This record gives sequence, structure tokens and C-alpha cells, in this order.
Amino acid sequence: MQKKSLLVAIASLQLLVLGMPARAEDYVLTLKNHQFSPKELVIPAGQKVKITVRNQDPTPAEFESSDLNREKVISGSAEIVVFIGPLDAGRYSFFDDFHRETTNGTIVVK
Amino acid sequence: MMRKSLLQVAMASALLMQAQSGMAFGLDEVYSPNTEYGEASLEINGAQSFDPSAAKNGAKVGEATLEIGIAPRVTVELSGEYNADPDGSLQLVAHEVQGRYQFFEPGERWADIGLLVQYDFSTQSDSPDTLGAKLLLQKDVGRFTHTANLGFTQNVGAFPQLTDSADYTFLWSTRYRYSEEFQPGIEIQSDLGSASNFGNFNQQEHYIGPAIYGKLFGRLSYQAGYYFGASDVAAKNAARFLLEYETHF
Repeated sequence: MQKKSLLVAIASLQLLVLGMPARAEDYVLTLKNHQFSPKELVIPAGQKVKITVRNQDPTPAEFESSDLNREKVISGSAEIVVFIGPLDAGRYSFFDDFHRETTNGTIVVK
Repeated sequence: MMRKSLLQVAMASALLMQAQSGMAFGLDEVYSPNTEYGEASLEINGAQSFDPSAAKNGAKVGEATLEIGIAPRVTVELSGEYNADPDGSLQLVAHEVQGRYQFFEPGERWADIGLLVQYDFSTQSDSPDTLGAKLLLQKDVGRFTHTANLGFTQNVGAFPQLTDSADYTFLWSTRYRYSEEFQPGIEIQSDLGSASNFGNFNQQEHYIGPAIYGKLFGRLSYQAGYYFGASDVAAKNAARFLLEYETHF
């Protein structure tokens, strides 16, 4: 009986965590000459989104945001994928941690 | 003289109880399943117990760690582990090798999930090596981040005076991401002991308390927590800190 309960619990956890892949809408952020484009990316509230960050500079960057709890290094001339949301309406800042004073942007959730 | 003898008996009893249950004082970082490829960091952390009883007061644990994100989704850590009994001084007790694997991209699934595996090479002739593993779970809800670690540690080798059964732990953290520099939260740290000890709350070490997290100057991460013992074998209070300097390669 105990073994059966354990199996049911494991199966439930598996369904919950593994069986629910995100249905994420796709967006692109480009990093060139140490500037993000677009500087403000507008996404819908209450939805998970997938953002591809393309680093067109030859030097590495780090996409980072404490608002979004994301931190990921991007090699030079490479790209990464970042999943965010679902988020409430508002403004969420992000930056390149290697050039945090000059290379930054905002995700606007409407 | 009589009072000193009673104190010694009480300390010996408390130490015996802990040895029998396989538990020793220890608070740990609540690990995120998410790793950082291309990042290297130096980290020190420590914890100490506070209790009116001399048998539970002043126990310390500490760790000095080099952590490297060696591949996408994989982080490796090398540590020196220190501890001190309530009546002892801090000493190096083990060298630890630890690996952490992140199963998905952060936010890709309903919850982030990872696995941590660690092996401690004991430096003490009377203590065994240990093998441990933890399931790491994390979920962001708005500006709150909830993290849970479910783990076990198993003694390796023949040490008849020590328990053969695995020791289980449960750690929980909820933090509010107010800003990069300041993120207040709450932590639960539980050493559940062996499986035969499940359900016996007061023979397990349970701590709960406020914690703060953050990153200063873009490079220096910190964590600090102050805990209240919630079970009989736990110390009345405990404190934990962590400092981590990170760089990239």
C-alpha cells in the first residue's frame, strides 16, 4: 500500500514537472555594438514567452535580470534562449552584466 | 564539582543521542537547480548554533568552495569542509567534490529541476566518507522564488560505531526579489535523520527563520539567516552566512 502511494506520488510529480512543457510565444532580442534591440520589448501579460537573445558582437555578454531571476552568459556571435513568465503587467529591467551601466533594456508586460 | 560532572554527563548524552540518530549540527545553502555556464566563483559559508545548554551551544560548520560552470547546465564544486563540536575547535573534516546538473532551461517547465551529487573524502581516520544526492526544485511566482532541496547522505565504508542507514534532509527557501541587492525571505532547514526516524519530529533537527539574499557591486553575492530551533534536539537558535565572489571565463 505504501509502495503504491509512493509510485502514485512519483508519477504525479513527473506529470507536474515533466509533462507540462511550456507553450511559449517567440521573441527576439539582438545585442549589437553593446546595445540591445529593441530597447523595450513588449510582451503579453499572463503568458509564458521564449526570448532568443542573439549576440552579434564578437565579445561575450551576460543577459541578466534580478527582476526576472535570469542570468546567462552568451558567447560572442552566439545566441541563447530565455523563458520568462507568465508575468503581471509592469516593467522588468535587464542588462548585460559585463557592461551593466551602458547595455540595458526593459521588458514591458501589457 | 558535582555540577561539572552533571554538565559532562549531559554533554556526553547529547552527543551520544546525535551519534545514534546519525545527525550532527549542520545548516546548508538551499541550492538552486539552475547553473551558470562560464562562471567561476569562490565561496565561503558557515553556520553556528546558539543554546543555553553547553551540549548544543557553539557547534560550527564551514566550507570554502571553488565553483565552476564547466559546461551548459553543469557546475562542479571543490570544497574543504570544516566543523567543530560544541566543546571543540574548528578543524578540516573532509574534502568534497560536488556536481550539479540542470535538467531544463529556467522557466521552460512548470518548475525548474536539478540534481546535485556530492562525495566527501573524510580527513578523519575515525569518520567515513559520505555520498549524498539532492533533488533541487525551484519555482518563480511573480517576484517570489521558492526553492526546495530533498536529499540524503549515506556513510561509505565500514564504521561499525556509526549508522549504516541514510540520513535525509529537507531544505526550503522562499525569497522576495525586491531588488538585486536585497531579497528578504524565509528558510526551513530540516535534518530528518534516518527513515526509521520519520514521524518522530522531536528527534529530528528542524530550524526555521528569516534570511536575506542579494548581490552587491555585481560580483559579490551574500546570504544570511537566523533560525529558531523548532524541535527538541535542535539548538535554540542558529545562524548561517554565505559570501560568494563570482567572475567569468
